[in-house]
Amino acid sequence: MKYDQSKIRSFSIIAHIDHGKSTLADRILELTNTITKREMKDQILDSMDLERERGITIKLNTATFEYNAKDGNTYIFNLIDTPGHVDFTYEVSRSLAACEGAVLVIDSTQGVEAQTLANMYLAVDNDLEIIPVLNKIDLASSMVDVCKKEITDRLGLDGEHAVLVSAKTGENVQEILERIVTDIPAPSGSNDNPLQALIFDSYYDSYRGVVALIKIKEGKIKVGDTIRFMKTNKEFLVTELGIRTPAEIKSDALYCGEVGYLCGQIKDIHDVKVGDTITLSSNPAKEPLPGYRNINPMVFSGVYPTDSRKYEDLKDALEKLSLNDSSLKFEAETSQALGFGFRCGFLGLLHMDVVQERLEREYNLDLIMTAPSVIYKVNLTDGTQISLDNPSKMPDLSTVKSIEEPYVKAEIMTPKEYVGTIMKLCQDKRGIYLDLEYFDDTRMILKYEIPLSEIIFNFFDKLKSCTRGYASLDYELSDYKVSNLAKMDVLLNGEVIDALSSIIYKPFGYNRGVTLVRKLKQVIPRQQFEVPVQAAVNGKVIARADIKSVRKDVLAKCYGGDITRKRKLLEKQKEGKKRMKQIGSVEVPQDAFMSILSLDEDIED
Amino acid sequence: MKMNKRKINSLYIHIPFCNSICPYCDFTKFLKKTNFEDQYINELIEDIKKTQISFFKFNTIYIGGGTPSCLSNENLEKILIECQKLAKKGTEFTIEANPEDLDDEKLNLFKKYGINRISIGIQSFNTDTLKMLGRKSIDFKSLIKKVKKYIKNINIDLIYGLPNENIEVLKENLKKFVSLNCSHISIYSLTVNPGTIFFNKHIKEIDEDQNRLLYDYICSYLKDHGYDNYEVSNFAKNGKYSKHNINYWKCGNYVGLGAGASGYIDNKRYTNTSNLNKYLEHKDRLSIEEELTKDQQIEEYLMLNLRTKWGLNLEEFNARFGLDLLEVAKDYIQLLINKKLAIINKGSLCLTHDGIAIMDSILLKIFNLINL
Repeated sequence: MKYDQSKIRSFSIIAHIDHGKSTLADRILELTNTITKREMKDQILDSMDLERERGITIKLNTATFEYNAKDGNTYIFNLIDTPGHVDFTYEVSRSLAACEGAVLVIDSTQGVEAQTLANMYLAVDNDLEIIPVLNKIDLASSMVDVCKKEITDRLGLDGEHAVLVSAKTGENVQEILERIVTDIPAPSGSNDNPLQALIFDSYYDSYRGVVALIKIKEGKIKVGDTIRFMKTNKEFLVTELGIRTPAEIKSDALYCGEVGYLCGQIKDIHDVKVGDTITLSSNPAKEPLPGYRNINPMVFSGVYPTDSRKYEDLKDALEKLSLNDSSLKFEAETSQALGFGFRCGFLGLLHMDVVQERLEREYNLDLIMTAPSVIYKVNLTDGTQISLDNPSKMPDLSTVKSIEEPYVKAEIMTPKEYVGTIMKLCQDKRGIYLDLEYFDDTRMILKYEIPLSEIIFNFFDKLKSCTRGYASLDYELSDYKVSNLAKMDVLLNGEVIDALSSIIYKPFGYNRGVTLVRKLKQVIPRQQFEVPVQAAVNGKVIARADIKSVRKDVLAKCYGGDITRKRKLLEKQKEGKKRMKQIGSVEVPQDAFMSILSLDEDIED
Repeated sequence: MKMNKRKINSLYIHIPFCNSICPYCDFTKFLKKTNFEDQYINELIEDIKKTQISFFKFNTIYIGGGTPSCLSNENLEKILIECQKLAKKGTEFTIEANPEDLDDEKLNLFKKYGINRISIGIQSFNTDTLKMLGRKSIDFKSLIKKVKKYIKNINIDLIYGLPNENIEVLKENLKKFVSLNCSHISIYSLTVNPGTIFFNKHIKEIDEDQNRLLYDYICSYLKDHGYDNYEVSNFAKNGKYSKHNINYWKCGNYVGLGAGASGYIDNKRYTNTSNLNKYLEHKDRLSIEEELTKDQQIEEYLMLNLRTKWGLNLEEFNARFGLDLLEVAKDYIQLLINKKLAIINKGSLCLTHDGIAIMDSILLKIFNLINL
């Protein structure tokens, strides 16, 4: 590809989840012959199995390709993919920092949703040129005119000039490419300035060490240059440069405005920080590029290997994963019940889920995750304050003056007929009403302040089910407020199981306690001897259920032809038991530790 | 070439035909079709003849099914002639039979060729239950009276724990059984296995607690009436244990002939194909053959021996596997004894009634302790 800075266009596609972003990316890659039909798998940029299976984008990915525009010129496009889920806002902002423009995809059968707004604001924050696109126009339920009006009225963009496409059939996708050429500016900066390259992602490769994805904002870089990471101040020799199409193509140098990758025999993953700026040792830039908004994890969970001998493997896996996923934080912790493990911080529940699945699949680990918790601030009687991300570490009550918990500002967009239902839900979740406004003729935006712990505790599922999936949610951390909180412990056979402790809102305590012990009774299989399960708040038992003992499990018939089958059955059960955690004399399955999350009030005794 | 004959304890012969298909049955069986039947019997006789060359006479012979009694008398006679050549004095020779097949002619045939034990699949005396199981209700009292004229040693198969049965049905069934004064009973809780009609109809097994309640009742009732609960589901009077089945539970060797039958010789288990065409055409006739590893042998030894009232002889176990169970699972066995789930009797570890009922969880614990 021939370098001409004025012919480079770097852009992201942003959208609410399920609005067709990845399918549109597929069509663009196809149309520009980046990927031939033969190589085409659905959603090519979603390279993780997990992404394809779930139909979501988790990790950003990039592709560089050529486009022969109608003006007779050949342009170089850098497409930087973004995730659509609320948990991954941080990833979106990282992608956007490497772009000059954004294609904002809106499902024309759904219209503007909460995440459409949130992602558009991110693009505006990054000074990007935004091209609105209405997708799914091939569907009968498409409402193009309504959506155009929404774009004009609600997003402040030019709705009349939105590109109407069907990513599925490919209809009119070419128009988007033309608009990218005409509307999105070429990257600014100059090859003559000192190097400033933004690291917007990185991953670990066992042969080449850390591979950093970079955008050259100023200057140029060559293989053989000695570079410096401005934040960590480490220096490395550049051993390889290239672009991703998405397949890697090596090149000797990267120039101003280009997007590519860099290797430098960097063995320690801690040396590379996403958001850092790379410069040349010989001619360093005066200052680094503005980094990213440093995002803090919102929910914390204990992650333990089921087999305690796999602790080191887990540590290794978390380090490699966190390189690729800088929003994942972790530190070692010990649990009496679960042994050695890590307290990990996640952006949200989906993020937590994704990390768990990646650890289990890509690193072949068998994990126990404890129920997620938020960070509480505990004010002690001596005037000091501690941050608490693990409920079992709650200090002795006599030393606690008050406990504060994080609240989020939640914006819920909903068809107006569900407003009453949602208000009831928010009140049940201890929400504080802020505002209610019309979005358009049929939809409203409800604003509440809600404790984050309640959002984690099945708020999203409840919201979806009570609005038949029509409401969408966006939230951001607001502040901490003092709440009437207490620690709830769970006792098995009379012993406190630290991994099952949680912080609860006291007035909800009795109900939560009762449902939790019932739930545990359900998920913990019968044991050889009866086991009492108790919930205790501040040391006082408030609920109890008994896990029954096994009463009959012997196979009725076992003759000549049954023996092999019976032995295999026992062998299978034996393997199943290995996946359980032995706590004292009780065998506890992995999902018991998460059962606090899925408490529904209607569990039968 | 001179063959070296082997001494094997037991012979099992499978007859995979039935007059009707029972909704709970997951054995290898086919609706009876005469042409297949003739062909099958010819194949089987070939196999029996080969067995006569390769093996000495057996201590036990068992013809099971399917429904062996549904064969034509001609075919039955052909088989019995050959089987008799494999029996000696004192051989326990059992055949399974359906109640409605048992006329004097057939019983006479059985007796003539040395069958000395009969296992009758009555399943229930209750008319509603029989209807649900798709079986006929007949006058069982006169049937047993008739059978006894030919064969004294009678087993009756019963099923308990059908979804709509209450404990009264069970009590009535047991009472009727005892009144017939037969020497043996096998009584099984209904298990619903994939591939059966019950499974496809989503019939559910009764829950564990209810099952245990009924099981406790069965064991104590039969004990009170002189029946010895010598295995999980088997009870005998006057020492009339099933020697053939005891051979399975003692990990003895056995030869299996016919479609779907299994055999076990020198730690190798084979299973014949249950595909009738393949069996008849000698195509992939052996569907599974596996040589058990030492760990698998230990697992089977535990799971089979502990089913019986004689339990597991600790010295024999040690001699066979070089493992002192009392040593490696010391604390757990002590716990079982303290909780009255097991006893040590004459050098054997025996599960009590309470222990037998929850044998699977005890086995898994022991497997874990001895690192299987």
